[in-house]
Amino acid sequence: MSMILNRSGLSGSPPIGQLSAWVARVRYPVPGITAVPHEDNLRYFNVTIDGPSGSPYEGGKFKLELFLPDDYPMLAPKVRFLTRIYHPNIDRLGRICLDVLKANWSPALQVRTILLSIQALLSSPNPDDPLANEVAEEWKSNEQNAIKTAKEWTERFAQ
Amino acid sequence: MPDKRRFFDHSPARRQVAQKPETRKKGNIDEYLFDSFQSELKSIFSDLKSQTVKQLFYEFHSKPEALSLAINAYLDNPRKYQHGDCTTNKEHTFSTPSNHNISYKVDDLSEKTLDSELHVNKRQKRLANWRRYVGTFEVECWCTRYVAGLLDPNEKLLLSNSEPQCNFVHVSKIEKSGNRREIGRFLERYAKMIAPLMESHGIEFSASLSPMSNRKLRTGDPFYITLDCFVTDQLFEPRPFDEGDLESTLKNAQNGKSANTHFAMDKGAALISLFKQLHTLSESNQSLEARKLVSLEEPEEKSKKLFLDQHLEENDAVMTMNQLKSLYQSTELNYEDTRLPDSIPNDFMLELRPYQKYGLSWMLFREQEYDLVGLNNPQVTDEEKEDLKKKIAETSGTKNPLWKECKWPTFSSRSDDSCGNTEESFYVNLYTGACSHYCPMIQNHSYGGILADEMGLGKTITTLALILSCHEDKSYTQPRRRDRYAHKTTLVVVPMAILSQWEREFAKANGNTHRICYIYYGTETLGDLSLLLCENPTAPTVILTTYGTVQSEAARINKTGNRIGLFSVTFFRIIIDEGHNIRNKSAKTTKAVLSLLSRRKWVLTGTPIVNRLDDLYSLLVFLDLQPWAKHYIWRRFITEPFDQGRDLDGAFALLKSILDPIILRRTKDQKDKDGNLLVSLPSREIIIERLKFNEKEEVLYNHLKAKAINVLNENMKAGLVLKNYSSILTHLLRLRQSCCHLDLIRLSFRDILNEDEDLKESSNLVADQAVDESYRILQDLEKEEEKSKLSFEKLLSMKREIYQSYPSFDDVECTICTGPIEIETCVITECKHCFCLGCLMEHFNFQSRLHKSINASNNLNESQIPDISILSKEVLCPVCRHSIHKNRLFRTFKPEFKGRPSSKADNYDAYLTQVDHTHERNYYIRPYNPYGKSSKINALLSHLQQIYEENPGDHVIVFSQFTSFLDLVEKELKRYTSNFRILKFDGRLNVDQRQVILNEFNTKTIDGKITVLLISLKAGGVGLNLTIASKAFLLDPHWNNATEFQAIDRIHRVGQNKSVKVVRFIMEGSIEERMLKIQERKNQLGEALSMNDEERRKKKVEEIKILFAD
Repeated sequence: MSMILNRSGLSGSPPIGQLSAWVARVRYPVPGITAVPHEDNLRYFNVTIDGPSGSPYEGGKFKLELFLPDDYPMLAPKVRFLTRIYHPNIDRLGRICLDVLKANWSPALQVRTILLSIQALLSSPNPDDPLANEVAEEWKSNEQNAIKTAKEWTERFAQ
Repeated sequence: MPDKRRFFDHSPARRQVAQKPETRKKGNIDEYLFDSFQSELKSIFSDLKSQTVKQLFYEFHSKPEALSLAINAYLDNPRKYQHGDCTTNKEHTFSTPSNHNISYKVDDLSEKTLDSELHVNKRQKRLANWRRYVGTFEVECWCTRYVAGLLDPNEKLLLSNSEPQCNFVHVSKIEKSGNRREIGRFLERYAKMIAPLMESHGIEFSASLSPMSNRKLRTGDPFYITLDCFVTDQLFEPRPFDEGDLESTLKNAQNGKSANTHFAMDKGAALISLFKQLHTLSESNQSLEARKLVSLEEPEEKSKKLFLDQHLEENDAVMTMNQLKSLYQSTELNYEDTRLPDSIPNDFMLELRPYQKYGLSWMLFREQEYDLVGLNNPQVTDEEKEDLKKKIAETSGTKNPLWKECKWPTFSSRSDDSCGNTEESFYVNLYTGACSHYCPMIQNHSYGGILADEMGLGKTITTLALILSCHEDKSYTQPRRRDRYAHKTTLVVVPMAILSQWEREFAKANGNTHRICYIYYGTETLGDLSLLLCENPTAPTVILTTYGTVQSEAARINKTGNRIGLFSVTFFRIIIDEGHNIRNKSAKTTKAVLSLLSRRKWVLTGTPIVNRLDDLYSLLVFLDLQPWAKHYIWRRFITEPFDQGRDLDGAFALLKSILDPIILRRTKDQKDKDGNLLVSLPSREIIIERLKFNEKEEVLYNHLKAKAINVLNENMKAGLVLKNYSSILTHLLRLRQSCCHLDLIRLSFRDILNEDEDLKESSNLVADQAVDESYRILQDLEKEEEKSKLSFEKLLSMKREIYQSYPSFDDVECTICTGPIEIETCVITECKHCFCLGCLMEHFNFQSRLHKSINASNNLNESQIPDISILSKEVLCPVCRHSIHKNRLFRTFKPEFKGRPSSKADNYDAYLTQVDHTHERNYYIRPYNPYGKSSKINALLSHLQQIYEENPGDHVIVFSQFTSFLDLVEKELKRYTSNFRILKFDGRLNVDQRQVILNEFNTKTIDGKITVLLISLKAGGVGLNLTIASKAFLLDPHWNNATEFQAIDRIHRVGQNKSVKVVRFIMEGSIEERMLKIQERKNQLGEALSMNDEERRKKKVEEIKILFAD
């Protein structure tokens, strides 16, 4: 009974129509950020974020991958840096320590807000809540050196 | 080994004097001739078997140039002579019925014996006029004394049994001296078969020692003898099909065990098994001979084969209900085979479909109204009618299925030509062992039958056509009241639910105002009907009554002893609709219906076999189909074979031959002669919608489930599952109810019992403590819920704030799905954020799942008392992270709803939903109650709402097994909106009320309201015709899939022109899903046929285990 099947999802994964609406919103987020869905899997996005000006990452173009899990939007999307980056809250594997991706996720948050938060994280690293401990130590003990390394890395990996 | 034995001539010419001794001299001459014959033949065919030689000699020795004839004959057809039959060389053994200790052998070696034999024979055994060879087989014997060096192969042996009715067959040999010495006995398996026959007329044996390698036998050694079997004319002495005889045979067989354990088989059975052994009964003689050949050479092999055969038979014994149902499915083919001309009824206002016209012809045919077959059919000429009548006259009576055709052996040289019989076969009664040259027929004297067309094919209409075409007994010309014969009246017995439907159909179909239909129901059930029915020229054509009426009237008669009311006359015809109602032969209703009198009887049913084979029996009794309606016959020939799984094929064939002439069944998928479907119904779509429990339901369900598992495990351990079966059923019922609506738990114990047939019948029930406990938990849950709710004052102020924040309901977007929100699906949190109801509920559910999984990992040993705290767990608003709660949400509604009658809703709600007229808002809000209705009612509501929007004025039917649930559904639906017209049809209504409800359902609403008919599965699952609706909801699954399909067929039947959509609600992960599994299992395996009540229960326990298996 089609009328019944099409009722907006009270349970289970969101219907295809809704997913593509989300995709559309992910695709055209904000200047400096792009997100392109993968051809085979609409839930998988290739994301680029430009290094924010005034930060050690300025001029860099960072690649990330973003995946909408089945329980999205009840569960946060999964985001990971593909480009190597020298940042106290991002580890060698590209994993990101950001509250809205974990405990503070809310279904009302959208992918664009998440990506903006990540961009903001690049502007203001938070070495007090580190993921990459060595980088955070360096950042706290010798910030100049750390910023220098970050710039070098940006030139090396993110050009 | 060289054959040194004499050859004895048994040419037919000398058979008559078989008892006279042949002279020694004659024997010597023959012996000489044979020796030279043999040596000549062997010089040509060196590998020729001595048996073949003997056979050839026997055939040709009396002719001139015997040798060349024999050689030519052998070359022409070597196979004919290869089936080594030793019979030529064997002696005839006679046994006498009265003198058990002596058996006789014609043998020139023992003239002395022969003399005495002749003497006895003349006195006690009438000589056979002729005898005919029927076959040979090997018998395994065991040696009873040490024998060495004396045994020649093919040596003639003497068989005897020492005592009457005893299972020993002694094998003796005749010594030179003429003394008989026992050398061994038959194995019991053979002795059982042969011993009874040795005493009786009609069968003769002759035995000889089979070739064997050992020349010594020790006690206990096995050896084989070859047994030739003959039948004589005495077997064919006319014996009518004597039921008394049969009955005593059967009764003896039943008591056989106590009376005489050793003499297990009576003569008839022995004869049958002998014929089976000889494969006379089997069709394929070829394979039999091949087998015989093998067994001659390798005696060991045979027992293995036997074992294998038995094994195979055991496999065959697994017969399922499905196979049985294929039985009457196969009778469907009859429809195409038989060529009765179609009939068009008189005075009939409706158009019959072609298959219904055929059905009418068949019914008229069964009533032997041959003049009426082909009625009003212009294509049928009078000549054709005459032809048909002639044909009917010729073929009247059916082959008695108890008799089986047996083929005479094709190699007839063994027989005595004097019998003069040239038929290829004879007939043997499979149960008494009587034989006949001709096939006995059963004359069919019953008028009527079973019309078993599948549901929806219009059995009612076909039957009405019969009633109106042939409304009175024309052969009864001089009505007299004292005959008490209501010769113009057909009594129709129907379930109460469809009484008025019959009345309506009659009114529609009837084209003659003189034909009237009486309803015989309710208070006017007493008195003598002969005045009304017997001499009255305006007697009603049809009297409609219900099973209940018949039963209550029968009960009254039992008290008073006077035949009154329906029982006071003999009806012209009785028709019982939904005839499977009388399937239980010990039920009161069945007994009452069976004692109604009539000349013609019809059963209408879509399911002649509901659960077991015996369902059919009551129908046959009703139809008075002799001899099957006699219980001992039915038991012996049908029930027992199926129960014990022996000779299933035979019983199956018999059953089929019983049913074939009296049953007519067509199915919807059947095609007519032009290849079109009999009925083309619109498509049917059945969807299973799995629903999730809400938290409250889940808590309570899990509690009840744990309880039930506990009880089951305890009973399992103690082995009391069957004893406490009803208490387990009670728990199951609880679980099923909690899947529907938690309020059902509150029902008193007594009410619940009435909901379930299984429980109603069991009287001594264990008190159900679980009721109190679950009730307490429910109350706790509600207290908790109350606590989390907003106070009344808070509600009012919150409402004001919300109206201020959202002056109008436009462009509101859900931040979760990022889409716009409809007014109907919007919820507003206490922090005044809007979400789709679905999105926010998913958020709640996801959070509680998260919470639970964390809890589970923290708290490994779960306590028995369910954790009700999860209801009050904190969830944050997705937008502002303010704490929100399901019980503190608001829902928005369109202002149209304000006009609903507030009297029915509770005042508290009404006050809160008052629209403030000073503001022109396009919406209003009401506190949201997440648990008030059950998940199922919620789902039903949203479906109905959608139907209302998409198809205003539509009709919908809703089934449940629980009338109390339907009550709740009714209440909720009425509360929810005034756009539904809610009707309810259940067993509590009387006939008139039912009719009112159905009439109302069949009218259209003018204001676009949708009409919802709530039907209890039991009261309305069968018979009703509700094709005005095309959508159905099944709120809860039944144990039996067929019952649900029957319910669906209320709307998916002739007359339906829309495609049918059905939704079945199933609670996810609950007992209901397990019930689906059981349904599936039943469908796949089919229900095993042979189950007594105990086995049935055991099976149910197995199913219970499935229900709780993890």
